[in-house]
Amino acid sequence: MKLMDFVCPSCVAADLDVTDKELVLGRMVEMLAEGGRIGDPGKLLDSLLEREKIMTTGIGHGIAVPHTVCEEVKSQTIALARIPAGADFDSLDREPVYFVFLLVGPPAASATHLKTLARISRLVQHSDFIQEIKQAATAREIIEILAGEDDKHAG
Amino acid sequence: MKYWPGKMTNTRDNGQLLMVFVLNREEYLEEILSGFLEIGISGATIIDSMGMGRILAYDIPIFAGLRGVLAGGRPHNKTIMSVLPDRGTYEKAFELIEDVCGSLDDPGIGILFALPIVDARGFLSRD
Repeated sequence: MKLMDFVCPSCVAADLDVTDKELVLGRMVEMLAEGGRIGDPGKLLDSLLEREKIMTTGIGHGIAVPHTVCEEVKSQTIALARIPAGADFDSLDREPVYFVFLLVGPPAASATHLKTLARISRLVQHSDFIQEIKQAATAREIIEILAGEDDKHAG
Repeated sequence: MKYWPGKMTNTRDNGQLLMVFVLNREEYLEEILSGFLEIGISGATIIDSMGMGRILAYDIPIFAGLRGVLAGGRPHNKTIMSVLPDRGTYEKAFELIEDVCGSLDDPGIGILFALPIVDARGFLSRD
């Protein structure tokens, strides 16, 4: 599976300047709306926040992977954001989040959604990758790093 | 009581099967094991087990969203394994299981499958 198949190129931010969880999610949902990937952004944001109520997606080591399936999503999409100042995601390790993988999909593609979530979950287990992606200075650099990981696991 | 398959060795072509039955409805275990005795299955191994979904949803935070999918499901199950002498015994076991639990096509009952056995050792014959 290639994560880059789902990344919305215009939905990659290397310098997101908000640090509140809901604001971070709101800004990333806006990026998806501007990229034409979703319908009602309010409903998608609600769906993401509902998922956060089950358990935070701030999984530690400065990474968050908010995700949901929602009728407002046209097709499986990933948005990426680096937050240099760190956001409070109520993370499991109580540390700020510096990089967000936002994964959304339509209900009809739940199986693909789960596989993609699993791929991201495995990817962020690698400390080298985490360090690299958190330090990426531009959107292009972020995309190159992710594409490089896709190439390593091709096949 | 005679335990099948008796002493030793088996070849690929003699039809022995390993039956694996993951039973989600644990309340049926006693009736199933009694039924197995009735149809001549007198040996089995029962393992306390848990579904993968349960572990993902409750032990791995990123998959906590699966808890809604599992709502109402059973936290644990029993895995029953038994070496059977032939396909006919397996079919009888399948009929018994469905007689006790209902159709395996219905969700939440369990899953049943069989594997061919190449070799089996350690089985005893007793009078």
